[in-house]
Amino acid sequence: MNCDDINNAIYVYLDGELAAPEEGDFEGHVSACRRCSRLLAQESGMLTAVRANAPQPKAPESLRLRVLAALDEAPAPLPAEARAQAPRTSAWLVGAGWIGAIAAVVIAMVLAFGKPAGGETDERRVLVESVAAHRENLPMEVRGSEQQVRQYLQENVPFPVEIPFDDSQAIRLTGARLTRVGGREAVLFNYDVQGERMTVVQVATPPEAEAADAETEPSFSNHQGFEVVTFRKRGIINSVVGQGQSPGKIVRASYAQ
Amino acid sequence: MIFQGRAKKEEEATRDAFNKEALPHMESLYSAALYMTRDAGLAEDLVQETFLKAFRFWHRYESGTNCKAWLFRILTNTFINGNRRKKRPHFSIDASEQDLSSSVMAETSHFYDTPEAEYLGGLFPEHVQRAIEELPENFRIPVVLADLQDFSYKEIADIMECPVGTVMSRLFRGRKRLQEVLFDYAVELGVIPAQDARDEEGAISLEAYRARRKAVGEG
Repeated sequence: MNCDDINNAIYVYLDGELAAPEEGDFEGHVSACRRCSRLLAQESGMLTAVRANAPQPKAPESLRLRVLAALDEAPAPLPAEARAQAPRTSAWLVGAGWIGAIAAVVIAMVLAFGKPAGGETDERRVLVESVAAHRENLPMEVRGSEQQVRQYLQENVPFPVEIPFDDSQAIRLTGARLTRVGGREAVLFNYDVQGERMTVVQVATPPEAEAADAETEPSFSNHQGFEVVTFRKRGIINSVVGQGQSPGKIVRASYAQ
Repeated sequence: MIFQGRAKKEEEATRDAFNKEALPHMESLYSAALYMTRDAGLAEDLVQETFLKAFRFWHRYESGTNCKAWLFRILTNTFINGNRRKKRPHFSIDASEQDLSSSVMAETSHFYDTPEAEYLGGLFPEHVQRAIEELPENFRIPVVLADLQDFSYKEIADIMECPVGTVMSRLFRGRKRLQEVLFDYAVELGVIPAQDARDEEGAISLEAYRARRKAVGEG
Protein backbone atom coordinates (compact mmCIF):
# COMPACT_ATOMS: atom_id res chain seq x y z
CA MET A 1 0.00 0.00 0.00
CA ASN A 2 1.15 3.52 -0.70
CA CYS A 3 -0.15 6.83 0.66
CA ASP A 4 -2.83 7.03 -2.02
CA ASP A 5 -4.13 3.60 -1.06
CA ILE A 6 -4.25 4.72 2.57
CA ASN A 7 -6.27 7.80 1.57
CA ASN A 8 -8.78 5.62 -0.20
CA ALA A 9 -9.03 2.86 2.37
CA ILE A 10 -8.96 4.98 5.50
CA TYR A 11 -12.68 4.87 6.31
CA VAL A 12 -12.96 1.24 5.35
CA TYR A 13 -10.17 0.59 7.84
CA LEU A 14 -11.72 2.76 10.55
CA ASP A 15 -15.08 1.06 10.01
CA GLY A 16 -13.41 -2.30 10.55
CA GLU A 17 -14.45 -3.46 7.09
CA LEU A 18 -11.03 -4.04 5.60
CA ALA A 19 -10.26 -7.69 4.91
CA ALA A 20 -7.52 -9.21 7.09
CA PRO A 21 -4.62 -9.17 4.58
CA GLU A 22 -5.28 -5.55 3.56
CA GLU A 23 -5.70 -4.57 7.17
CA GLY A 24 -2.20 -5.83 7.84
CA ASP A 25 -0.82 -3.93 4.84
CA PHE A 26 -2.64 -0.81 5.96
CA GLU A 27 -1.26 -0.94 9.48
CA GLY A 28 2.18 -1.75 8.15
CA HIS A 29 2.23 1.37 6.02
CA VAL A 30 0.71 3.65 8.65
CA SER A 31 3.13 2.63 11.36
CA ALA A 32 6.02 3.50 9.07
CA CYS A 33 4.64 6.69 7.56
CA ARG A 34 4.33 9.87 9.58
CA ARG A 35 2.00 11.54 7.14
CA CYS A 36 -0.42 8.64 7.12
CA SER A 37 -0.39 8.12 10.86
CA ARG A 38 -1.31 11.80 11.29
CA LEU A 39 -4.04 11.45 8.73
CA LEU A 40 -5.39 8.41 10.50
CA ALA A 41 -5.44 10.23 13.84
CA GLN A 42 -7.22 13.16 12.23
CA GLU A 43 -9.84 11.04 10.49
CA SER A 44 -10.56 8.89 13.48
CA GLY A 45 -10.83 12.04 15.59
CA MET A 46 -13.39 13.37 13.17
CA LEU A 47 -15.48 10.22 13.22
CA THR A 48 -15.27 10.01 16.99
CA ALA A 49 -16.35 13.64 17.31
CA VAL A 50 -19.31 13.06 15.02
CA ARG A 51 -20.41 9.96 16.87
CA ALA A 52 -19.94 11.52 20.29
CA ASN A 53 -21.61 14.83 19.52
CA ALA A 54 -24.37 14.14 17.03
CA PRO A 55 -27.65 14.48 18.91
CA GLN A 56 -29.88 11.41 18.88
CA PRO A 57 -33.25 12.84 19.81
CA LYS A 58 -35.73 10.64 21.61
CA ALA A 59 -39.03 9.84 19.97
CA PRO A 60 -41.78 11.80 21.72
CA GLU A 61 -44.32 9.77 23.68
CA SER A 62 -47.04 11.23 21.45
CA LEU A 63 -45.47 9.46 18.47
CA ARG A 64 -45.58 6.11 20.22
CA LEU A 65 -49.26 6.58 21.02
CA ARG A 66 -49.98 7.73 17.50
CA VAL A 67 -48.27 4.70 15.95
CA LEU A 68 -50.07 2.31 18.30
CA ALA A 69 -53.42 3.89 17.42
CA ALA A 70 -52.63 3.72 13.69
CA LEU A 71 -51.72 0.04 14.01
CA ASP A 72 -55.03 -0.67 15.73
CA GLU A 73 -56.81 0.83 12.74
CA ALA A 74 -54.56 -0.79 10.15
CA PRO A 75 -55.95 -3.61 8.01
CA ALA A 76 -54.86 -7.05 9.11
CA PRO A 77 -51.54 -8.08 7.62
CA LEU A 78 -51.31 -11.04 5.33
CA PRO A 79 -51.19 -14.12 7.55
CA ALA A 80 -47.90 -15.95 7.28
CA GLU A 81 -49.73 -19.20 6.60
CA ALA A 82 -51.41 -17.89 3.45
CA ARG A 83 -48.12 -17.46 1.71
CA ALA A 84 -47.28 -21.13 1.83
CA GLN A 85 -50.76 -22.28 0.89
CA ALA A 86 -51.45 -19.85 -1.89
CA PRO A 87 -48.21 -19.34 -3.70
CA ARG A 88 -49.79 -17.13 -6.30
CA THR A 89 -50.29 -14.51 -3.62
CA SER A 90 -46.62 -13.83 -3.20
CA ALA A 91 -46.06 -14.10 -6.90
CA TRP A 92 -48.36 -11.18 -7.34
CA LEU A 93 -46.65 -9.20 -4.67
CA VAL A 94 -43.19 -9.67 -6.06
CA GLY A 95 -44.31 -8.85 -9.54
CA ALA A 96 -45.95 -5.65 -8.40
CA GLY A 97 -42.84 -4.34 -6.68
CA TRP A 98 -41.76 -4.18 -3.11
CA ILE A 99 -43.07 -1.34 -1.11
CA GLY A 100 -46.09 0.82 -1.64
CA ALA A 101 -47.90 -1.81 -3.62
CA ILE A 102 -51.04 -1.30 -1.64
CA ALA A 103 -53.30 -2.25 -4.51
CA ALA A 104 -51.32 -5.46 -4.88
CA VAL A 105 -51.81 -6.21 -1.22
CA VAL A 106 -55.54 -5.89 -1.62
CA ILE A 107 -55.46 -8.27 -4.55
CA ALA A 108 -53.18 -10.56 -2.63
CA MET A 109 -55.50 -10.67 0.32
CA VAL A 110 -58.46 -11.48 -1.87
CA LEU A 111 -56.48 -14.27 -3.44
CA ALA A 112 -55.18 -15.50 -0.13
CA PHE A 113 -58.66 -16.01 1.17
CA GLY A 114 -59.96 -17.32 -2.10
CA LYS A 115 -59.28 -20.77 -3.38
CA PRO A 116 -55.67 -21.81 -3.23
CA ALA A 117 -54.22 -21.93 -6.69
CA GLY A 118 -54.38 -25.64 -7.25
CA GLY A 119 -51.89 -27.50 -9.38
CA GLU A 120 -49.45 -24.67 -9.69
CA THR A 121 -46.01 -26.16 -9.47
CA ASP A 122 -42.93 -24.50 -8.07
CA GLU A 123 -41.46 -24.46 -11.56
CA ARG A 124 -44.44 -22.62 -12.93
CA ARG A 125 -44.22 -19.99 -10.25
CA VAL A 126 -40.53 -19.44 -10.85
CA LEU A 127 -41.22 -19.25 -14.57
CA VAL A 128 -43.84 -16.52 -14.19
CA GLU A 129 -41.71 -14.50 -11.83
CA SER A 130 -38.59 -14.84 -13.91
CA VAL A 131 -40.40 -13.38 -16.90
CA ALA A 132 -41.70 -10.52 -14.73
CA ALA A 133 -38.18 -9.90 -13.43
CA HIS A 134 -36.73 -10.04 -16.92
CA ARG A 135 -39.18 -7.41 -18.07
CA GLU A 136 -38.68 -5.27 -15.00
CA ASN A 137 -34.92 -5.28 -15.54
CA LEU A 138 -33.89 -3.81 -12.19
CA PRO A 139 -30.26 -2.83 -11.68
CA MET A 140 -27.80 -5.53 -10.67
CA GLU A 141 -26.32 -5.58 -7.19
CA VAL A 142 -23.06 -7.04 -8.31
CA ARG A 143 -21.28 -6.70 -11.60
CA GLY A 144 -17.95 -7.94 -12.77
CA SER A 145 -16.20 -11.22 -13.28
CA GLU A 146 -17.75 -14.58 -12.57
CA GLN A 147 -15.41 -14.78 -9.60
CA GLN A 148 -16.75 -11.52 -8.13
CA VAL A 149 -20.35 -12.53 -8.73
CA ARG A 150 -19.76 -15.89 -7.11
CA GLN A 151 -18.13 -14.38 -4.07
CA TYR A 152 -20.90 -11.82 -3.61
CA LEU A 153 -23.55 -14.49 -3.85
CA GLN A 154 -21.76 -16.86 -1.53
CA GLU A 155 -21.75 -14.15 1.10
CA ASN A 156 -25.35 -13.17 0.60
CA VAL A 157 -27.40 -16.15 -0.46
CA PRO A 158 -28.47 -18.79 2.02
CA PHE A 159 -28.29 -21.69 -0.42
CA PRO A 160 -25.45 -23.12 -2.48
CA VAL A 161 -24.93 -20.96 -5.51
CA GLU A 162 -24.51 -22.46 -8.87
CA ILE A 163 -23.52 -20.11 -11.68
CA PRO A 164 -25.89 -21.42 -14.35
CA PHE A 165 -23.73 -21.13 -17.46
CA ASP A 166 -20.01 -20.83 -18.06
CA ASP A 167 -18.79 -17.62 -19.54
CA SER A 168 -17.97 -17.85 -23.18
CA GLN A 169 -17.79 -15.59 -26.20
CA ALA A 170 -21.39 -16.26 -27.03
CA ILE A 171 -22.73 -15.88 -23.51
CA ARG A 172 -21.31 -13.51 -20.97
CA LEU A 173 -22.32 -13.12 -17.33
CA THR A 174 -22.91 -9.40 -16.67
CA GLY A 175 -24.21 -9.33 -13.12
CA ALA A 176 -26.53 -10.66 -10.48
CA ARG A 177 -28.85 -9.54 -7.77
CA LEU A 178 -30.91 -11.02 -4.99
CA THR A 179 -34.63 -11.29 -5.42
CA ARG A 180 -37.56 -13.21 -4.03
CA VAL A 181 -39.90 -15.72 -5.52
CA GLY A 182 -42.97 -16.60 -3.52
CA GLY A 183 -41.38 -15.25 -0.36
CA ARG A 184 -38.25 -17.32 -0.83
CA GLU A 185 -34.81 -15.96 -1.47
CA ALA A 186 -33.76 -16.19 -5.07
CA VAL A 187 -30.87 -15.12 -7.23
CA LEU A 188 -31.21 -13.39 -10.55
CA PHE A 189 -28.36 -13.64 -13.05
CA ASN A 190 -28.04 -11.39 -16.03
CA TYR A 191 -26.33 -12.62 -19.17
CA ASP A 192 -25.44 -10.94 -22.40
CA VAL A 193 -26.08 -13.27 -25.32
CA GLN A 194 -24.65 -11.59 -28.36
CA GLY A 195 -26.15 -8.26 -27.44
CA GLU A 196 -29.44 -9.65 -26.10
CA ARG A 197 -30.23 -9.68 -22.43
CA MET A 198 -30.97 -13.05 -20.85
CA THR A 199 -32.19 -13.59 -17.29
CA VAL A 200 -31.78 -16.66 -15.13
CA VAL A 201 -33.63 -16.95 -11.83
CA GLN A 202 -32.59 -19.60 -9.32
CA VAL A 203 -34.59 -20.63 -6.27
CA ALA A 204 -33.75 -23.40 -3.87
CA THR A 205 -36.46 -25.96 -3.36
CA PRO A 206 -37.62 -25.69 0.25
CA PRO A 207 -36.05 -28.46 2.31
CA GLU A 208 -39.43 -29.57 3.63
CA ALA A 209 -40.76 -30.10 0.11
CA GLU A 210 -41.15 -33.60 -1.21
CA ALA A 211 -38.29 -34.69 -3.42
CA ALA A 212 -36.35 -31.56 -2.50
CA ASP A 213 -33.30 -32.56 -4.45
CA ALA A 214 -35.11 -34.01 -7.42
CA GLU A 215 -33.86 -33.21 -10.90
CA THR A 216 -36.22 -32.40 -13.72
CA GLU A 217 -35.60 -32.28 -17.44
CA PRO A 218 -35.70 -28.88 -19.12
CA SER A 219 -39.19 -27.80 -20.04
CA PHE A 220 -39.50 -25.32 -22.89
CA SER A 221 -42.33 -22.84 -23.06
CA ASN A 222 -43.36 -19.42 -24.16
CA HIS A 223 -44.69 -16.84 -21.73
CA GLN A 224 -45.73 -13.30 -22.66
CA GLY A 225 -43.64 -13.46 -25.80
CA PHE A 226 -40.47 -14.69 -24.10
CA GLU A 227 -38.93 -18.08 -24.47
CA VAL A 228 -38.53 -19.70 -21.08
CA VAL A 229 -36.76 -22.88 -20.09
CA THR A 230 -37.21 -24.26 -16.60
CA PHE A 231 -35.39 -27.15 -15.04
CA ARG A 232 -34.42 -28.40 -11.62
CA LYS A 233 -30.87 -29.32 -10.90
CA ARG A 234 -29.47 -30.41 -7.53
CA GLY A 235 -32.55 -29.08 -5.78
CA ILE A 236 -32.35 -25.66 -7.41
CA ILE A 237 -35.06 -24.54 -9.79
CA ASN A 238 -33.70 -22.61 -12.74
CA SER A 239 -35.73 -20.48 -15.09
CA VAL A 240 -34.02 -19.04 -18.14
CA VAL A 241 -35.73 -16.17 -19.97
CA GLY A 242 -34.75 -14.42 -23.15
CA GLN A 243 -35.71 -13.35 -26.59
CA GLY A 244 -35.88 -15.69 -29.56
CA GLN A 245 -34.31 -19.11 -29.45
CA SER A 246 -31.39 -18.35 -27.17
CA PRO A 247 -32.58 -19.83 -23.85
CA GLY A 248 -33.46 -23.15 -25.49
CA LYS A 249 -30.20 -23.30 -27.41
CA ILE A 250 -28.09 -22.46 -24.41
CA VAL A 251 -29.78 -24.92 -22.08
CA ARG A 252 -29.57 -27.70 -24.68
CA ALA A 253 -25.91 -26.96 -25.23
CA SER A 254 -25.24 -26.99 -21.51
CA TYR A 255 -27.09 -30.29 -21.07
CA ALA A 256 -25.24 -31.81 -24.00
CA GLN A 257 -21.92 -31.26 -22.26
CA MET B 1 -67.49 -19.34 12.93
CA ILE B 2 -64.40 -21.33 13.68
CA PHE B 3 -62.52 -19.81 10.79
CA GLN B 4 -63.02 -16.26 12.04
CA GLY B 5 -61.93 -17.19 15.49
CA ARG B 6 -58.76 -18.66 14.19
CA ALA B 7 -58.05 -15.70 11.94
CA LYS B 8 -58.57 -13.36 14.86
CA LYS B 9 -56.11 -15.31 16.95
CA GLU B 10 -53.51 -15.21 14.23
CA GLU B 11 -53.99 -11.50 13.86
CA GLU B 12 -53.36 -11.02 17.52
CA ALA B 13 -50.28 -13.20 17.39
CA THR B 14 -48.96 -11.14 14.49
CA ARG B 15 -49.57 -7.93 16.33
CA ASP B 16 -47.81 -9.28 19.42
CA ALA B 17 -44.81 -10.31 17.38
CA PHE B 18 -44.77 -6.94 15.69
CA ASN B 19 -44.95 -5.08 19.00
CA LYS B 20 -42.15 -7.16 20.38
CA GLU B 21 -39.77 -7.16 17.42
CA ALA B 22 -40.47 -4.01 15.43
CA LEU B 23 -41.68 -1.33 17.83
CA PRO B 24 -38.55 -1.25 20.02
CA HIS B 25 -36.70 0.24 17.04
CA MET B 26 -38.80 3.39 17.15
CA GLU B 27 -36.09 5.49 18.79
CA SER B 28 -33.50 4.69 16.14
CA LEU B 29 -35.98 5.14 13.33
CA TYR B 30 -37.10 8.48 14.68
CA SER B 31 -33.57 9.76 15.08
CA ALA B 32 -32.64 8.74 11.54
CA ALA B 33 -35.92 10.13 10.21
CA LEU B 34 -35.10 13.50 11.77
CA TYR B 35 -31.74 13.58 10.02
CA MET B 36 -33.39 12.60 6.76
CA THR B 37 -36.36 14.97 6.82
CA ARG B 38 -34.83 17.70 9.03
CA ASP B 39 -38.27 18.38 10.42
CA ALA B 40 -39.88 16.89 13.53
CA GLY B 41 -43.37 16.70 12.02
CA LEU B 42 -42.17 15.06 8.82
CA ALA B 43 -40.00 12.68 10.84
CA GLU B 44 -43.01 11.54 12.88
CA ASP B 45 -45.05 11.01 9.72
CA LEU B 46 -42.20 9.04 8.18
CA VAL B 47 -41.86 6.80 11.23
CA GLN B 48 -45.59 6.15 11.34
CA GLU B 49 -45.71 5.32 7.63
CA THR B 50 -42.74 3.01 8.08
CA PHE B 51 -44.43 1.07 10.86
CA LEU B 52 -47.69 0.79 8.95
CA LYS B 53 -45.91 -0.56 5.89
CA ALA B 54 -43.84 -2.90 8.01
CA PHE B 55 -46.99 -4.23 9.65
CA ARG B 56 -48.69 -4.76 6.31
CA PHE B 57 -45.65 -6.57 4.92
CA TRP B 58 -44.85 -8.34 8.16
CA HIS B 59 -45.22 -11.74 6.48
CA ARG B 60 -42.11 -10.89 4.48
CA TYR B 61 -40.00 -10.37 7.54
CA GLU B 62 -38.32 -13.56 8.56
CA SER B 63 -38.56 -13.86 12.31
CA GLY B 64 -35.21 -13.77 14.03
CA THR B 65 -33.42 -11.99 11.18
CA ASN B 66 -32.22 -8.40 11.28
CA CYS B 67 -35.42 -6.54 12.05
CA LYS B 68 -33.73 -3.17 12.50
CA ALA B 69 -32.15 -3.32 9.04
CA TRP B 70 -35.44 -4.44 7.54
CA LEU B 71 -37.28 -1.50 9.10
CA PHE B 72 -34.57 0.91 7.99
CA ARG B 73 -34.92 -0.36 4.48
CA ILE B 74 -38.60 0.54 4.54
CA LEU B 75 -37.85 3.90 6.18
CA THR B 76 -35.21 4.78 3.61
CA ASN B 77 -37.32 3.68 0.68
CA THR B 78 -40.33 5.58 1.95
CA PHE B 79 -38.26 8.69 2.49
CA ILE B 80 -36.59 8.57 -0.92
CA ASN B 81 -39.79 7.78 -2.77
CA GLY B 82 -41.72 10.44 -0.90
CA ASN B 83 -39.06 12.98 -1.75
CA ARG B 84 -39.09 12.06 -5.39
CA ARG B 85 -42.80 12.67 -5.57
CA LYS B 86 -42.60 16.16 -4.13
CA LYS B 87 -39.15 17.06 -5.32
CA ARG B 88 -38.68 20.76 -5.29
CA PRO B 89 -36.61 22.13 -8.14
CA HIS B 90 -34.64 24.60 -6.03
CA PHE B 91 -33.51 21.95 -3.61
CA SER B 92 -30.96 19.79 -5.31
CA ILE B 93 -30.86 16.26 -3.99
CA ASP B 94 -27.97 15.10 -6.09
CA ALA B 95 -25.83 18.03 -5.19
CA SER B 96 -22.55 16.33 -5.86
CA GLU B 97 -20.93 19.53 -7.10
CA GLN B 98 -22.64 21.80 -4.63
CA ASP B 99 -20.36 23.84 -2.45
CA LEU B 100 -21.60 23.16 1.00
CA SER B 101 -19.15 25.32 2.83
CA SER B 102 -20.46 28.54 1.35
CA SER B 103 -23.99 28.31 2.69
CA VAL B 104 -22.91 26.99 6.03
CA MET B 105 -20.17 29.55 6.44
CA ALA B 106 -22.55 32.44 6.04
CA GLU B 107 -24.64 31.30 9.00
CA THR B 108 -21.84 30.34 11.34
CA SER B 109 -22.54 31.63 14.77
CA HIS B 110 -20.05 33.64 16.81
CA PHE B 111 -21.95 33.48 20.05
CA TYR B 112 -20.27 30.50 21.60
CA ASP B 113 -17.36 30.65 23.97
CA THR B 114 -14.25 29.01 22.79
CA PRO B 115 -14.05 25.64 24.52
CA GLU B 116 -10.79 24.08 25.55
CA ALA B 117 -10.78 20.86 23.65
CA GLU B 118 -8.82 18.87 21.22
CA TYR B 119 -9.43 19.05 17.54
CA LEU B 120 -13.12 18.57 16.70
CA GLY B 121 -13.99 17.08 20.05
CA GLY B 122 -15.02 20.50 21.27
CA LEU B 123 -17.72 21.00 18.71
CA PHE B 124 -21.23 21.49 19.89
CA PRO B 125 -23.93 18.95 19.10
CA GLU B 126 -25.79 21.65 17.14
CA HIS B 127 -22.85 22.01 14.80
CA VAL B 128 -22.52 18.31 14.17
CA GLN B 129 -26.24 18.03 13.64
CA ARG B 130 -26.30 20.94 11.24
CA ALA B 131 -23.24 19.70 9.37
CA ILE B 132 -24.89 16.30 8.83
CA GLU B 133 -28.19 17.85 7.84
CA GLU B 134 -26.46 20.03 5.27
CA LEU B 135 -25.09 17.00 3.43
CA PRO B 136 -26.80 16.17 0.15
CA GLU B 137 -29.26 13.36 0.61
CA ASN B 138 -27.29 10.65 -1.17
CA PHE B 139 -24.34 11.23 1.19
CA ARG B 140 -26.40 12.00 4.26
CA ILE B 141 -28.24 8.69 4.32
CA PRO B 142 -25.15 6.45 4.34
CA VAL B 143 -23.43 8.72 6.89
CA VAL B 144 -26.45 8.55 9.20
CA LEU B 145 -26.70 4.78 8.77
CA ALA B 146 -22.99 4.17 9.37
CA ASP B 147 -22.06 6.79 11.95
CA LEU B 148 -25.25 7.23 13.92
CA GLN B 149 -26.86 3.80 13.55
CA ASP B 150 -23.75 1.59 13.38
CA PHE B 151 -24.86 -0.45 10.40
CA SER B 152 -22.24 -2.45 8.52
CA TYR B 153 -21.51 -1.76 4.86
CA LYS B 154 -23.47 -4.81 3.84
CA GLU B 155 -26.47 -3.77 5.90
CA ILE B 156 -26.36 -0.28 4.41
CA ALA B 157 -26.16 -1.76 0.92
CA ASP B 158 -29.26 -3.83 1.70
CA ILE B 159 -31.08 -0.85 3.16
CA MET B 160 -30.25 1.45 0.26
CA GLU B 161 -30.56 -1.36 -2.28
CA CYS B 162 -27.25 -0.55 -3.87
CA PRO B 163 -23.88 -2.32 -4.16
CA VAL B 164 -21.41 -2.21 -1.27
CA GLY B 165 -18.99 -0.29 -3.52
CA THR B 166 -21.52 2.52 -3.83
CA VAL B 167 -21.91 2.62 -0.06
CA MET B 168 -18.15 2.97 0.35
CA SER B 169 -17.80 5.76 -2.17
CA ARG B 170 -20.76 7.71 -0.82
CA LEU B 171 -19.54 7.34 2.73
CA PHE B 172 -16.11 8.49 1.65
CA ARG B 173 -17.38 11.59 -0.06
CA GLY B 174 -20.00 12.30 2.58
CA ARG B 175 -17.49 12.15 5.40
CA LYS B 176 -14.99 14.29 3.54
CA ARG B 177 -17.65 16.94 3.12
CA LEU B 178 -18.65 16.62 6.74
CA GLN B 179 -15.05 17.05 7.74
CA GLU B 180 -14.70 20.22 5.68
CA VAL B 181 -17.75 21.77 7.24
CA LEU B 182 -16.80 20.74 10.77
CA PHE B 183 -13.29 22.00 10.26
CA ASP B 184 -14.65 25.34 9.18
CA TYR B 185 -16.82 25.49 12.29
CA ALA B 186 -13.90 24.54 14.46
CA VAL B 187 -11.66 27.27 13.11
CA GLU B 188 -14.43 29.84 13.29
CA LEU B 189 -15.09 28.91 16.88
CA GLY B 190 -11.44 28.93 17.72
CA VAL B 191 -11.47 25.24 18.68
CA ILE B 192 -8.62 24.86 16.25
CA PRO B 193 -6.35 27.88 16.42
CA ALA B 194 -5.67 29.04 12.89
CA GLN B 195 -1.91 28.70 13.27
CA ASP B 196 -2.23 25.11 14.52
CA ALA B 197 -4.47 24.20 11.66
CA ARG B 198 -1.61 24.43 9.23
CA ASP B 199 -0.95 20.95 7.94
CA GLU B 200 1.10 20.90 4.80
CA GLU B 201 0.26 17.32 4.02
CA GLY B 202 -3.00 16.44 5.73
CA ALA B 203 -6.40 16.12 4.17
CA ILE B 204 -7.48 19.49 5.39
CA SER B 205 -5.06 22.37 5.60
CA LEU B 206 -5.28 26.00 6.43
CA GLU B 207 -4.30 26.74 2.88
CA ALA B 208 -7.27 24.85 1.55
CA TYR B 209 -9.44 26.48 4.15
CA ARG B 210 -8.25 29.94 3.12
CA ALA B 211 -8.72 29.17 -0.55
CA ARG B 212 -12.27 28.15 0.17
CA ARG B 213 -12.95 31.22 2.24
CA LYS B 214 -11.52 33.40 -0.48
CA ALA B 215 -13.73 31.72 -3.06
CA VAL B 216 -16.73 32.35 -0.83
CA GLY B 217 -15.77 36.00 -0.36
CA GLU B 218 -15.52 36.49 -4.08
CA GLY B 219 -18.62 34.51 -4.88
